[in-house]
Amino acid sequence: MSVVVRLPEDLYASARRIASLQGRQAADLLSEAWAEYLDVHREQFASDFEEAAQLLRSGDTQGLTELAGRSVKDRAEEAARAARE
Amino acid sequence: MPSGPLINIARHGSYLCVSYELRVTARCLAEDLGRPGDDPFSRLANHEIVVAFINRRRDSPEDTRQVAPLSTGRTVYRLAYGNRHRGATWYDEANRVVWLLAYAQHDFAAAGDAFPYFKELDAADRLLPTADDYRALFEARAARFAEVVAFEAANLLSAARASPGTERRAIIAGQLAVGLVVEIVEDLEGVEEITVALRLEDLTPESLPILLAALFPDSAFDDIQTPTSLAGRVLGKNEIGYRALIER
Repeated sequence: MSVVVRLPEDLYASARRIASLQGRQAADLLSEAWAEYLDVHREQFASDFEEAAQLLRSGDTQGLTELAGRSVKDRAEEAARAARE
Repeated sequence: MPSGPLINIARHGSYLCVSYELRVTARCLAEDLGRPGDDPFSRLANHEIVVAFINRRRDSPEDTRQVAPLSTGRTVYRLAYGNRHRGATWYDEANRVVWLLAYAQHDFAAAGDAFPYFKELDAADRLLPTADDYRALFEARAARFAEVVAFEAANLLSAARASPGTERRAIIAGQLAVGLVVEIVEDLEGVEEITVALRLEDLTPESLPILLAALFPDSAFDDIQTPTSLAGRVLGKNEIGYRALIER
């Protein structure tokens, strides 16, 4: 069961926008956002880590490609939207 | 098996540079260059505008002369080959890619000026890359990452082991900047401590666990710590750190 995520494109864009509004550094907000993301999605992250380790052990490049590209569709839509902002 | 960094070579739909890649939008491929959407970059390399694209954007993603004004507000640069061939490129810094957005022959006497054509595309929202363009870009990156992550992670580990206590750096799959240090644990024979720092801007939710699994293949996820320093330096705000003890 995959989790829909919207990192990193919209996160970066949001971090830049909010940082400019609040007079803060985008790096600060980005760091906070990643920390929160990893905390909230800890179980999914741990599961992905175990899956990746198994795929690496078995030399399953196709499986790794699918894992590495799991959020591609969402990220692509977000990137196209951000390009037009 | 990859034998070195993927730099200054055509790979599927991209031409890979040091810190970004060159790509052609599907619309430009089909409508302006008359090529199939899945044509690999290497097959385009004999086209005049693609020759210029590589030669002029390989070392610098930006230029001086722009296609302006545009309704998108994006900084789109002119690209030229000889007197007739004209292109429009955009450096999408957030996604580390320079897009060839459009191409036309610049011929006032016959086909007309290229730049009004570029502006027509802009006005119709057909100039910038679409979600399908980004999807192809991200899928290609995922495939490249999966293909080389184990090999390049092992290379980085090997280099770090050769000089314990010294940070070694690499850009995994040309995408993910990594600093890594191996330190010998004196009280535990045969055990080393591996600390890695990753640049946040490069990460995706999937590349992070894959890279960690490549670096810490025998570790349980709960045994991986999140340090705030590496080899005596405090991690930057744009970095995230991971550390684990490894039995050699």
